[in-house]
Amino acid sequence: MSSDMNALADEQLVEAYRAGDETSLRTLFERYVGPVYNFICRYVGSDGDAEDITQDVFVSVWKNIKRFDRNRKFKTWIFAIAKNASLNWIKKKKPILFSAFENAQGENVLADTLSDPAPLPDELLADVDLARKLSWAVAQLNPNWRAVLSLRYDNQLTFQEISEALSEPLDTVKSRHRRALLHLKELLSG
Amino acid sequence: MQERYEQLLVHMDRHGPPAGLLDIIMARIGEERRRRKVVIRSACFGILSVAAVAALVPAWQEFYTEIGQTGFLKFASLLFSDVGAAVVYWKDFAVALAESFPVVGVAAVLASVFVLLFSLRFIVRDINIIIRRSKIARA
Repeated sequence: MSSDMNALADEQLVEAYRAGDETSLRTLFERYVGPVYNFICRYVGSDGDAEDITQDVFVSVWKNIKRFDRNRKFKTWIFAIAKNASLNWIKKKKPILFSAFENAQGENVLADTLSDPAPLPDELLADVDLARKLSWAVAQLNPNWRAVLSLRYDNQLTFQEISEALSEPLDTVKSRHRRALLHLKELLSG
Repeated sequence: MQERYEQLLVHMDRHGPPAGLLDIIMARIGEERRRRKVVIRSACFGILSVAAVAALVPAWQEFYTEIGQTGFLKFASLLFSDVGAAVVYWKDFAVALAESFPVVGVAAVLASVFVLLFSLRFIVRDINIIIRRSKIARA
């Protein structure tokens, strides 16, 4: 039964839950608890708060699952909820982060002054301490940039899917991605 | 160039969820489900209470009309004005009282009061449950 469930697509699990199969909800949540928690950790930069926000996200998903639009992808929908929950948390706790880097159009003076990304030195990729350095560097980024990187590299979403999940235009997402890479390079090279 | 960054970023530390997070989430959903049931039940009993209060008005009117029409009060007043006669003819007096008793009116009033008290009891209990669970959730 459980292996049958694991073979189902997200949207099929949603349908199964709507049809009254309670186990499908757990299977679905089991699939996303890690990625969503990781995404929230990146977005808010705090493990302790990420746990509470993750709980709220899944409760919110459960509350709204009957209203889930069948034409949407579940993956983008749950990340959209996670992003909104994280955003609300940041607004409550750290309003300064929002005004720090980006303007309303998603432009950033700091990033625009940086040079184009250059090829990364080979020794950086071979660095045994890379994961720690990367985590530090990513944590320095604007939350919006971190969200794009997390969705793209932790969760393998396409730019189009990221655009849907974050409710942002595709060009803005691509621009944030580019700026995040630019800034990462600066941080890792510095 | 882009590939180099993608190659780099797969090395990012992934934050694994704390052990038992999924169980906590499912427990919270279970709790939320129970809370929702309690709220719906309270709302139903609230509606029932309002209906009981609304029903009490015509029930009381029926009782008042019936008691006037059957002469029950006149028979009953004999107990105070002429106790001796009531005792001497106690069988006839008891039958007269029973026959004139406004059964429908009294039943309607008692039923309304009973439903109202029954609903209020459950509303109070459910409100206590909601308050207690809210306190636990905040703790």
